[in-house]
Amino acid sequence: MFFRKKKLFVLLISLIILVGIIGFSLRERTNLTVAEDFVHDTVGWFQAIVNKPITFTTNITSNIKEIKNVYKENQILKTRLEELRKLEYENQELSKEIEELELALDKTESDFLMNFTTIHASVMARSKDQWFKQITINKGQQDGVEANMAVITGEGMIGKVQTASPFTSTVLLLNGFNRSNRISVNVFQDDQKRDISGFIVDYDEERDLLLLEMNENDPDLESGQVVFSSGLGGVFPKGLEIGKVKEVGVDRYELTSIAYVEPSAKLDEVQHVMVIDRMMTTEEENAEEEEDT
Amino acid sequence: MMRIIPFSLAFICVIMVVLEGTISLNVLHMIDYLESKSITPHFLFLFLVYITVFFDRSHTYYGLAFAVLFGFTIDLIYTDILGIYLFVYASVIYVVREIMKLLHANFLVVMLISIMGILATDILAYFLYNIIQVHDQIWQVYWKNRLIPTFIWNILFSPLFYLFFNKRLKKWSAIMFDRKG
Repeated sequence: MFFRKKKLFVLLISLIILVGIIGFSLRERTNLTVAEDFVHDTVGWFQAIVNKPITFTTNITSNIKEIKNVYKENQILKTRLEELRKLEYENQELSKEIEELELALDKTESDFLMNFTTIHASVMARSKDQWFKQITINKGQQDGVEANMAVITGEGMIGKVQTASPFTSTVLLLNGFNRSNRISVNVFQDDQKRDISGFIVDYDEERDLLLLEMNENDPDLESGQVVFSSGLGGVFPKGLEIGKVKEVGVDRYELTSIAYVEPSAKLDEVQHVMVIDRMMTTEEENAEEEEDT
Repeated sequence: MMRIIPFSLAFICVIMVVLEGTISLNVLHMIDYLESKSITPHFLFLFLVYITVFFDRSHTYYGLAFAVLFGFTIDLIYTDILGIYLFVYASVIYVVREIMKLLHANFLVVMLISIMGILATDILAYFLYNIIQVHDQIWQVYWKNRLIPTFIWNILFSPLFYLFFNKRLKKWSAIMFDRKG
């Protein structure tokens, strides 16, 4: 006999407990238990320490690589600088115009879909198992981070907060999105008044592209157009860049257009991120509305 | 000294858990070869193998206990689903323990066992995650894109672990268990 009776008993009990734990964690959860929060934060503290020397050395190596291209980049940037001054001037003129028009229309508050505050955070670790597209950041509930907030880098959106512990939180990256967490988006149209709307519904792992389903069959959809969040789908504010359309097609029943979208942000090289807090502004607005009435 | 030893082992385990996440974030994406490949570091598992081979005696269960404890920690921190790495690490370490009753602890044996162990853990994790539908990767894609890179990466670290921990673990084991008798 490989197992004696006592061992067999222990084995069966532990298997039952194990299946129980797996079943418990398979549910869709946004709140963690206190014990989980504690482990997340304790290990997060260690991660913050260990991460420092390692990022320091990797930064030095990537800096050396970058130094080679500095001269070329500098030349290009100089030419861009001239364009930038023009743009800045235009920008000032336009924002003045907008203010005047808003005054004329008696519209005091700007588009509330676009209002948000940002929380800056550093990435401390990535999930060791690549099937889980998660990263850990060093800000948590104490800094105002809550589950389902959008997370962006300078280049574009990278994902959303999955769970928040008091001092750390876990971010689900865009390439881990599935049908249970979709994003309402607009595809920006240069020459038309209205943008086309749709939903990011899935991530195609073989092509490494996001799957975008439009709400209707739209002939204006072309590759190269920029996809923004529309602010209608819940907690994500309006105007976060998500990616560029790469391929256009029709869905299975040929009723609506679909498109494959390449994320603007590099999902595998993130160091610093911003968490988008939209709840605070809406609460303030509610308070203002209450004061008005 | 005797009382500190289990805690220092546990501390090294925590460092291994943390390193797995930090290495995944900072180092692995820098290797250009890895475009569609993915590597899973199994440092904690390697260290558990070394504990089981060099530290544990036939009547002690330190390797197994740490496998349960820190396998669960990995589940908590790095994955959504609790219990998979707990089960995978504990069962493979249990088998390693049974095998080590028959074999002597030396360099070749520990290399052989870490090779078998890493293959067993990664394949077991693949099947379990497949059953509960975390992923739907087919076997052919899996062994090309994940199993082989993971295996090579981890096996490179096994000799390093041998250099660092071999003598230390043997010494600690002697301090822990030999004085009692």
